[in-house]
Order: sequence, then structure tokens, then C-alpha cells
Amino acid sequence: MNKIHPPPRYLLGSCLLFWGVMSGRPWIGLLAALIVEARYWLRLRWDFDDTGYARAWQLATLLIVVTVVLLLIEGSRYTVLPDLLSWIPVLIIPVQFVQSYGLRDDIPLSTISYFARRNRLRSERLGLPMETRSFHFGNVTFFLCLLAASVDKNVDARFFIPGLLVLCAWRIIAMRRCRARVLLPVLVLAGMGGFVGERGIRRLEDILVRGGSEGDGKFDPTFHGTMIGSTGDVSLSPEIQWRLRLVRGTAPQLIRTATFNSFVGTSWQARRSPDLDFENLENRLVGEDLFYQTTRSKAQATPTSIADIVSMTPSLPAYTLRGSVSVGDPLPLPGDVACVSGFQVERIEGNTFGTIRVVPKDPVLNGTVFWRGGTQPDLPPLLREDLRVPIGDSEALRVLVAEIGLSSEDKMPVTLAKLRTWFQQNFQYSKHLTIRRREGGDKVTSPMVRFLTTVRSGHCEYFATGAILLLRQAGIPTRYSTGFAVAEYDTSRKEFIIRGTHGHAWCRVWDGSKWLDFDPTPPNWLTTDFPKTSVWQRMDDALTRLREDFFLWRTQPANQLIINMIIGTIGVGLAGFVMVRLWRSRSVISHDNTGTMQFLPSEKTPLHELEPMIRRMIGPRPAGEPYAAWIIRATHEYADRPLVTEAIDLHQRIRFDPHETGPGARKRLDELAHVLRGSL
Amino acid sequence: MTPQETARQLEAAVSSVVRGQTEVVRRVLACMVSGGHILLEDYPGTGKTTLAKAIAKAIGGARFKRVQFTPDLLPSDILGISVLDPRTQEFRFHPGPVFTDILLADEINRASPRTQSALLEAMGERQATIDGTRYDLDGLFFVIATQNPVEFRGTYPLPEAQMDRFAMQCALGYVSAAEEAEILADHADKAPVDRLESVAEREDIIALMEAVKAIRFRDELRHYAVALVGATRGHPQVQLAASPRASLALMKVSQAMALFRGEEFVTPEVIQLIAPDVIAHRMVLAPEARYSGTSARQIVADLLETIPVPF
Repeated sequence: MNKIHPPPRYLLGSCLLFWGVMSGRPWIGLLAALIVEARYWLRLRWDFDDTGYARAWQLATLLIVVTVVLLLIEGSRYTVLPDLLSWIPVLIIPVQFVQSYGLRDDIPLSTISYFARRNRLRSERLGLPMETRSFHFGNVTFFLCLLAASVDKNVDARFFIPGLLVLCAWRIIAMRRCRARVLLPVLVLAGMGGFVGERGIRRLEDILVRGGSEGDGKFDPTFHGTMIGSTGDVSLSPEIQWRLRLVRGTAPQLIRTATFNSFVGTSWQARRSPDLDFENLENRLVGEDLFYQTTRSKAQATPTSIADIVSMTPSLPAYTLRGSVSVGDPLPLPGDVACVSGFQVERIEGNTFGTIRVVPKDPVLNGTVFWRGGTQPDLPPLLREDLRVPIGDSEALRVLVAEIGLSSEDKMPVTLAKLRTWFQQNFQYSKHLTIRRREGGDKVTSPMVRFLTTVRSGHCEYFATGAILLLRQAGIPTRYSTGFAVAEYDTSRKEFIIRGTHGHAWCRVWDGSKWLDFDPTPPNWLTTDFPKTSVWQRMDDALTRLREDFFLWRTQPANQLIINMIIGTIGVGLAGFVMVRLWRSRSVISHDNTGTMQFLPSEKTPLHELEPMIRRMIGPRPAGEPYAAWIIRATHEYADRPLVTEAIDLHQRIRFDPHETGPGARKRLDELAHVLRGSL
Repeated sequence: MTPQETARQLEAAVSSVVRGQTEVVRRVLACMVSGGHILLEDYPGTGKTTLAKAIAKAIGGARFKRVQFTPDLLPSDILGISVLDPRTQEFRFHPGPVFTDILLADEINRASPRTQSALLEAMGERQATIDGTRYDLDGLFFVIATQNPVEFRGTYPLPEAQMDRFAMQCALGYVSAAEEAEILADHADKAPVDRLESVAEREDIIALMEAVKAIRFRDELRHYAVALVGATRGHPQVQLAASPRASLALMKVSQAMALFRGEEFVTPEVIQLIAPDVIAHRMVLAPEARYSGTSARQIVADLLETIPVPF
């Protein structure tokens, strides 16, 4: 069998260290490297049988499963694979341990393969001859370390690629096939593979995270790309994003995540003067209750002081909000939020458009939102931006405004009612988009104008944008808001469920004293937008709930202590169990006087000096293998047989019959050993 | 003739008759010159008797006796009996087959334990006590016992004490097809064992036995042999471990083996080569090991792999 050589001394340790440095866990890497490499300094060994190897594999599998579960609980499910891969060098340490400290050279294949194990049992039962296949696990560890180093998010390509090349070159040189012809292409391939792998996996992660849960990815408070001008179906994730439970009063219909004021091309952006950037709201907290008063008094015609809000809150409508968030995610809040309370955050900040974003302490947030206090987090409109329409569209918009009869002179409810009626009578809601960004012919009209004049079918982004453009044309400052519609009520749990599919866009209209939420989309959008809940979805919902509730339970200080104790007990128990088992299996060997008794050569021969070199070539000599047989094994490919035979003969003579051997023999063996050393 | 030459010629002569069994022939001869006895466990027709005969034939002046063990065989059938001479009115001793140089005890496990144990003293002490009189079995006394591994009905397993008296236990096994064809060719006119000329005298063999004692055996190898045998004691799968008699046999047989290999000193390889033959048959396995299919030879092989060997 053409066997692959085991990795040379210190390569695995270096690999683990490389992984540790690349993934930002240098101490763990160092510890793992020490565990693996200490075999060269320690005389401690275990005589693992097949069961021992299988146990190590089972332990590694258990660690992998536990890690997957923890990753699923902690983070996004789409990055489980890369996250798991980045931890894998530590998780496979049990198997590498039995490889390093076991007395066998290789691990039987039946250790890790269920089928190989079954096959072997069958052969044993039937008395069939069987071929035991085995492999050196060091090679697996080597490969997995490099893979793990490449998938980590923090990896720096400037150090990663050279490190990868050095380790690969080391590996190849150790295989004694160090020819430039072979070495160069392999290294080039390794470098390219590493680069592509590293980039590819990160890209894949991006796709998974972005594509899997729309809008749940990286939140950008200044930019919102719409689907205006692209064709196809609008698809949103049916996963639960937030859960909302009423405390007092009714639920808001729309909860906003962000507001934008500038329509450029087909996207909405938040343009503002530099002094109106995100501002930390923590200075507005009152008492120790962590009341984040989100209202901006400047926005009020009759300013409400913080003290007023605090005194008012007990009577305001309120709901609790619960959901998973990552750093910088916006909180979905009603347009007239009064204050939020009880959210465990590192930082909470808001901008002048009323977008509130958080840096959470834990992956799951839970807190109470008070609203309808007559306050708003948005500042009054910036007239230049909030009335602007695209120049190319203004002509068509003027015609439409005249047709509908919109005017800034009318009372606001009248204007909005007119617009809503116009949309309901002439437009259709559809998630199947047909408007292209550029239509053929020389007359170029924008997708929005085509939506408003000819196509008249689209989804909420079209309706909201269309209404904004018309209102602005009519001289009414209006903004674009994104967020969720509160529509699904779970009667059994008495809570509202906000899914990705509830994602919505609407207008925020300035009526001269405050901002109003105005939703021009025909109300039937909710009925057409809902896919049927599948069994899978229900299961997914249950898991999400379980995970979130567990998290919140976990973050309470009393429970944290319990969890730490449980995890600590299990961890220490498992580690202790493994240690005790290892210690016992070691003591069995010493009980037989075999593990502790070492026959150190009383008579050293020049051939003994070849030992470190041969050990590097074919691995350490098994305790029971005579030195001569080991040398023969190492030199079986070596052409000059008589030389080896003579050397071994002299070695045996000097070693086991010293008194009858003259000094000439030692001299001759010295020469032979020198020749052997040169040619091996 | 030097002892080495005697050994070489003897081996060549016996191997010319027993085809394809060079390695076993060497072991059997080594066992003989080390002063031990051998138990051959194999199927009928594999050449056990021929081997014994060939050894006897190759040694000029060596007496050869064969006893077919049956359930009704009596101790006196082996040792001999004193019979009243009516003329002299005295008891006269008629020596049994045990008074010989090479004794082939065929199918030894078919005789009753009482008869089997009649051999005990002879094998262990090289003497026989009959009717209170002690008779020495001087010179060459070599027992080749055989038993059939598949027979169970009407057999009496050898007692552990008797097993311990055998220095080695070997199996001949079937030869290859080519070698079997050669055996047929050899038997074309006359059985090859009948053609065999003696290559050594009885005295040469006794000299050879003396020469074996001169084969050098280093102290650390002695420790190794002791460690090997000692490891069977306290082994979880072994109920009855190997005795110091096993270490003694290990040393003597490995010395003889080294001589037959043309070496003047013992190397660890030789000890490892014969250790399963010398140690395994003396052990009784624990029931759980027996039922899990482990064999005594397997345990010895495992010990050889794990016990550090002098290097």
C-alpha cells in the first residue's frame, strides 16, 4: 500500500499555532500545539485498542455536536459551518491525542467509519480474512488546521498566504520528494487554493447571511436599495424577526426601523447636514431604570420635558419587544414612540430621522416600548430635501397631482384620503414586478413614472415612493420609512409575530406640526403577501422562540450562575472522566511491568546514532520491535542490501556479544553508519 | 566435526525427508538439543511420525520407540514392568518404551490422565521410578508427543502440569502444493526415511547439547525473557500464567535456536521468534478471553509488541 508519510516533527504544532494566530485564539492554539508536540518530550504513552480509538472519535464527535448546538444558539444559523470549521482543530484534539500518544503508528479506518467497523465485525463473525486499513491522523489534522485558518473572518491575507506556503513546503520537503519541479506547482496551487478558499468562504457566508434573511444582514441607516426597476418576484424570509406582546392599549399598525429622505435613482438615502448625525441617547436615561427617552424636544411644537415623559409613562400604551439583533441593528418602533425601557444594550443611538439603532449586550433583546405620548424622535423636515422630486419626473408628476387634485392648501386628512382613494381605485398590489429600469425606445421614462402612469401594479416600495413623489410635488414634505406591519397575532401565546414577510415601506408626512404615518399600499397586500405556514416554518418558529427565550432566561444573573455551574460541572466532569480513564489505562500497563520498564541500551553502537533520523522517516520504533528489524524496515527501499546486512550484523554483535567482539568491528560499523546516514 | 556443522548436517538430513517444513524442523531439533520435549499439535498425515523417525534415523545409534496412546494404555505399558521369573523365583524388570533416545508418544491425549502422568516424571526428571526402584534415563531422551486438535470424543486434555513439561508446542501445518508434489516424487520407489543415512552419532548430539550451553546470552536479554514471561502473570485475560520453567525453557531453546542459525550469541529476534511456541501452551486463559475468541498465542504476540525490547 502506498502510504502517506506522517507529518514531520513540530509541523502539527506549528500548524495549530498558525491557526491560533490567524483566528485570534493564540493561547488556545499554543495549548493545542503543546499537547500534540509534547509527545516528543514525554515518555508517557497509552496502549489504546480499537475501542480506545473509537472512544476518542466519539468524544470528538460529541464536542462537534455540542459546538454546533452552541453556535446555533449563539449566532446566525447561516454561519454555523464556517464557524464550526474555524474551531475544528480544537475539536479533533482527542483523536490527534490518541494518534500522538498511542503505541500504534496509524489509526484503524474502522475508528471513524461506521461501515468499516461493521464490515470488520462481520468478517470477524464469519471468520473471513480481513485487511485492516489504517491512516495517520496527523495528515487530517494538518489539512483541517489550514482549512480552519482560512475560513476565519479575522484572517489577514498578507500573513495567511505566506504562512500557508511555508507550512505546505515544509510538509512536502518532509515527504522527501523535494524536487523543484514538484514543489513549485504544488505551492502555487496551495497559494491559489488558500486565497480562493479564504475569499470564497467569506463570500459564501455573505450570500448566506444576506440572501437567507433579507434586511437582517448589515443594516445601513443611510442607504436603502429598493426593488424599483428590477423585475421578478419579491421574496422575503418568513422567519420570525420580532415578537411583540401588549402591555397596555392596542398595538401599533406600523413599526419603523429607518427613515430616508432622498430618492436617488432607485434607492432611498438619508441625506442630512453633518451636525445631525447619530447621537448617543444614553445621556437621556432617567434614574436606574434605563429609560431611553427617544423623543427630541426640538421636534415638538410644545416641547415635552423628560420629566413629563417619566411621569406620563405609567399611563401610556406599551408593548414588550423581543428579538435577535446584531451590532448596529435598528429597533422597530412606532413613529410616535415615547420611550424605551429595559433593553440590555451597550449603546443606543438615534439620528434626526428617528432611526434608533443599538449595540446589544446579548444576541437577544427584550424590553418595553411606550408610545403615543405626543412625542416623536424625528426632527422637523429639511425643506430642501424633503420636497425634492427627480427633475425628469416632475412634469409627469405635475400632471398627476392636478388629476388627483392634491394641494398643500387642503387639510392634511383630506389630501391623504384623496391620494389613498386614487391609489385604491387605479392600482393593483402585486409582488410580481414587471417594470424594467430602462425600457426600449428613445423616450426614456423612469420606472416610477411608468408605475404611476401606465403599469400601475407593484409592491409597497412602489406605492410608498409614488405617494412621496406626488405629495412632494404637491408641496408637502414627505419621507420614506421602512419597517414592519404588525399583522400576525398568535392567539395561543397572546403575542404579535413580526416576520421578514411583514417587511413594509410607507410614507411619513409632515402636517405642519408633526409627522404622520401614511400607508398608500392597498390594504389587501397583507392577504396576498402571506405564504402558507409550512410544518417546517412552524418548527423553525418554535426553535426561534425557544432560542430567544432561553437566551433571555440565560442572561438573568441568577440563571447565569446556574448555567455556569451546570456547564462547569459537565465540562469538569467530562474532563475528569477522560483523565481518570486515561490514568487508569496507563496504570494497567505499568502494572504489567511493561510500561515502566525501559531497556536502555547498555552498549551504544554507531547504528544507534541513526535513531532520530530514522524516527523522522518512519516514525518512532514500537516498543516491541527489535532495533535491527526497525532499521531493515526503514531501509527496505535502499539498494545496497549487503551493506545494511553487514551493518546490522555488526550492530548485533557489538550490542549482544560485546566481550567477544574486537575494536575493529566498532570502527567498521562507524564507517557503515556514516555511509547509511549519507544515503538515507 | 564442530557442533555448528553437526547442527547444519542434522537439519539438512531431516529436512530432506520432511519436505517444506524447514522452520519447524529447526525448532524441533533446537528443542531436542536444548534438552526439552516437544508437543506437536496437528492433523493426521502431516508428517509428525515421519519427522520423529527421520530424527532418529539421522542420528546413528539412537534408539527410537513409538507408543500409540489409547484409552486402555496402562502406565506399565510405558515405563516397564517387573515379572516373576519362575526359574529364579525373582522379579525381573522388563523396561518399557520410555527407555529410549527418541520417544514418539502418538495421540498422547487419548490415554487416561493416569497413564499420561506416568510420563511426567520421565520428562521432568529424566528418570523413572518403578516398584520403588529408580532408573536413570541418561543421555539423549527426547519426547515427541502428538495430539490431534480436532478430536474431542474419547480424549483427555493434557493436565496443566504435563503441558508445562513440554518445552515447546508447534504445529506442522499443511505444505504447499508444489512441496506436496515433491513428497509424492520422493515416495516413488522407497520411503525417503528408509533411504536416510545417519549423519551424526549419538555422542555428537550429546556434544551438541553441551555446545548449546556455551551460546552467549546477555544479562539484559535474561531480563527481557523474564519480563515477557512475567507479563502473563496478572494479565487480565490469563487465569494460569507461565511459570519460571517457561523462562528457563525460553532461554535454553533460544540458545539452541541461535546455534542452529549459526550464531554464537542470542539476539532479541531469536527470543521473539520462539516465544509463542515456548510460552503460549503453558497458559490457561480466563473464561471471558476464551469465549471472546482470543488465543494464548495472540496474547503472547500482543505482549511481544508492547514489552520494550532491548535495542
